[in-house]
Amino acid sequence: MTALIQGLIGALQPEAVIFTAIGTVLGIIFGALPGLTSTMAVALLIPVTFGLTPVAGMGMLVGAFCGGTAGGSISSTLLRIPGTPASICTTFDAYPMAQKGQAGLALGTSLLVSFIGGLFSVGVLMFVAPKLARFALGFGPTEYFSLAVLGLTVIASVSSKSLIKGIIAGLIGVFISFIGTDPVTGMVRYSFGIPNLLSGLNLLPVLIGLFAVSKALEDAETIGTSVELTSNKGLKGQFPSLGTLIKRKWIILSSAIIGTIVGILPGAGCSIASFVSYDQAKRLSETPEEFGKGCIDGVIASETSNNAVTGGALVPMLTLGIPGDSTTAVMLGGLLIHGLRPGPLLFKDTPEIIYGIFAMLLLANVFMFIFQSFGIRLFVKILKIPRYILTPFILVMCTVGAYGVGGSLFDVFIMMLFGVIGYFFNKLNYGVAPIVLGFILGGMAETHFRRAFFMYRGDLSVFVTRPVTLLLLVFSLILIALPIMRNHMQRKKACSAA
Amino acid sequence: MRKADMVTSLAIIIISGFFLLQTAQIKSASGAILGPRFFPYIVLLTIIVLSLAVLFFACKQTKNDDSSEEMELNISGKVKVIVTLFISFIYVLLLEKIGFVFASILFMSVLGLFFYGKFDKKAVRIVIFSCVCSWALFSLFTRFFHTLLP
Repeated sequence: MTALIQGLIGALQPEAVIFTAIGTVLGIIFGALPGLTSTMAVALLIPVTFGLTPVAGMGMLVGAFCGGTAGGSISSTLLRIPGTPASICTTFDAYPMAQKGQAGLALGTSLLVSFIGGLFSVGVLMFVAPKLARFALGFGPTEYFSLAVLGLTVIASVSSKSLIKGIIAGLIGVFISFIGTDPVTGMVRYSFGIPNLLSGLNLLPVLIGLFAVSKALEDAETIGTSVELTSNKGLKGQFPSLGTLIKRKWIILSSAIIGTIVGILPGAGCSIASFVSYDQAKRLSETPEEFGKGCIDGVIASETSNNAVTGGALVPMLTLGIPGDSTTAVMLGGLLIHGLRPGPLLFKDTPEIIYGIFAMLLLANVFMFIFQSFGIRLFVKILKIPRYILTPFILVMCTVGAYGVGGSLFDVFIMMLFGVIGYFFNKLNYGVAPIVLGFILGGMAETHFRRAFFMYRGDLSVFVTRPVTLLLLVFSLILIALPIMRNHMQRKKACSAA
Repeated sequence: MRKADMVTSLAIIIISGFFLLQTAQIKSASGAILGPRFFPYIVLLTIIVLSLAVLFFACKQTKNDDSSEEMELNISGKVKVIVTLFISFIYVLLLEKIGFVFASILFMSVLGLFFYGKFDKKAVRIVIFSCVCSWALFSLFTRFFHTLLP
C-alpha cells in the first residue's frame, strides 16, 4: 500500500505528467500516420527519456504505446489504411461508416471504447502483476531459462509469413547477443579487436535500426505515391449514445477481456486480439450480416480489444522480464537503459517505480481520451504532412537516439547496419521482431542454462523435475506446435478445396 | 522472391560459416563442456541447417514453376533507397567533422529536395524546415535532455 501511494506521488510529479502527455500525443501521431507504428514511436522516444526519472521516462513510453494503438483508428477510418496492424479490423467497418458520412461517429466510438478497454486492462495489470511477481520471486536459473525459452516461442507467432524464416531471424538475434564478454567465463567472443564490441552491442542502436531506420527506408521507396482522404469537412468526434453502449455491453466486456488475456499471452499481440474480438462480436451481434458494411459493433469490438492489450502486454514484461510482442520488447530496452531489469525483483526492490508506471498507464489512457477528443482535426491535418519532410526528420531523430547512448559514431553505424538488415529482412519475410526477441532473450537463456548446469553439476533432469520449469517448457512446446498445426490444417483445407 | 530467397540463404550460410570458424578461435575455459563456444556452435549450425532448407525449397519451387514470381521490382523505389542510404552514410561521416546542426541541415535539405524532385517555393520551405528542426533538436537534446551530440 505504501508503495502504491509512493508510486502515485511519483506519478503526480509535473515532469512525469508532462512527459506522459507528450508521449501520448506523439503516439497518436505515429499511430495515425500509416507506415509509422507505436513500436517505432517507442523506439524513437527512448533517447528522450535518458535525462528523465524512470517513472517520467516510462510514462512517456507507455503514453506512446497507448496513444499509438488508439491513433491507428484515425487513418483506418479516413484513409482505409490501418495506421497500425492493431487497427486492421477497425478498417472493415469504420471506413464504410465514413463513406456513409458517419466518420465523426466512427472516430468518437473508437476513442470511447479504446478508453474503456485501456482502463479495464490497467485494472487487471494492477491486480495480476504484483501477485505474479511475488510468485516469481522463488524462481531459480532453470525457471529463468524456461521463461526465456517461452519468450523465444513468441517468434513462432510473430513469424506469420514464414515460420522457418522467422526462426532463422530469431536465431540470428540470439547469436548477436553472444557478441562481447561471456557473462559466465569472462572470455571475449567475436569482438575482432574492436573495443566497442567488448561489452556487446548496445540494445538501443539495434532497436532503432531494426524498427525505425528500416521503416524509413521502406517509406523512402514509396515517396511520391499519394493517398486520398475521405471527405472530412467539419469533422468532429461524435460519441455514441449511452443507450448504444448499454445495448452493446457484452461486446465491450468480451472484447476487453479478450484483449487483456491476449496481451498477457506471449506473442499474440494487438492485431490477433482485434481479430478474435471482431469474430466474437459477430457472434454476439443481433445483426452479424451488417459486419463489414459499416457496423458500429465491429468498430467497438476491434478498438476495445486492441487498447485492452496495452495493460495485458505489460504483465509478462514487468513481472517476468519477457516481452509479449515487439513494442514491449522495445519498452523492455527502455527499462534496461534506465538500469532497471524487469522481473520479480523490480517489484520487490523498487515498487514505487512499478506503481508509478501503472499510474502513468492510467494517466496515458486519460490523456489519450482528452487529446483525441479535442484534437481530432489537428490529427487529421497531420495525415497530410508530406513524406519528403517526415522521412529525413525521422532519420535525424534515429541518429540522435543512437549517438545519444554513448556519444559514439560506432553506435550510429551499427544503427545504419541494422536498418539495412531490417529493410531486407522485412522485404524477404524474415521479419525484424524475431531478431529483437532473440537478441533480448538469447543471452538470458544461455546464461541461466549454463548457471543451472553448473549449479546442478550437469544434471539435466532438473528441467523436468522442477514443476514450474516443466510447465513453462510444456507451454512453450504448445505455443510452437499451435502455428505449425494451424498452417498444416490450412494447407490441408486448401488442398481439399482444390 | 525465390531467387532472392536463394541469394539470402547463401549469404546467411556463408556468414554463419565464417562465424563458425571464428567460434573455434574463442578461448575455452579449462575444458568445460558448456564453455563460451557451446551455444554459438549450436545456434550457428541450426541457422545453417534451416537456411539450407530455405535454399532447398526455393530451388525446388524454381524447378517446378518456370513462370517464377519474382520480388516486385520497383526501380525508382530502389534508387530512392540506395540514394537515401548513401546520403545517410555521408551524413554520419560528417557528423563529428562539421557538427550535428550543420550536418543535419545539409542532410535534411538534400534528402528532402531529392524526394521532392523540384525546386520551387516548397523547396525553400524544406530548407527552412531543415534549419529550424536541426537547431531545435540540438537545443532540446543538449540543453533539456542533457544528451551528448557532436
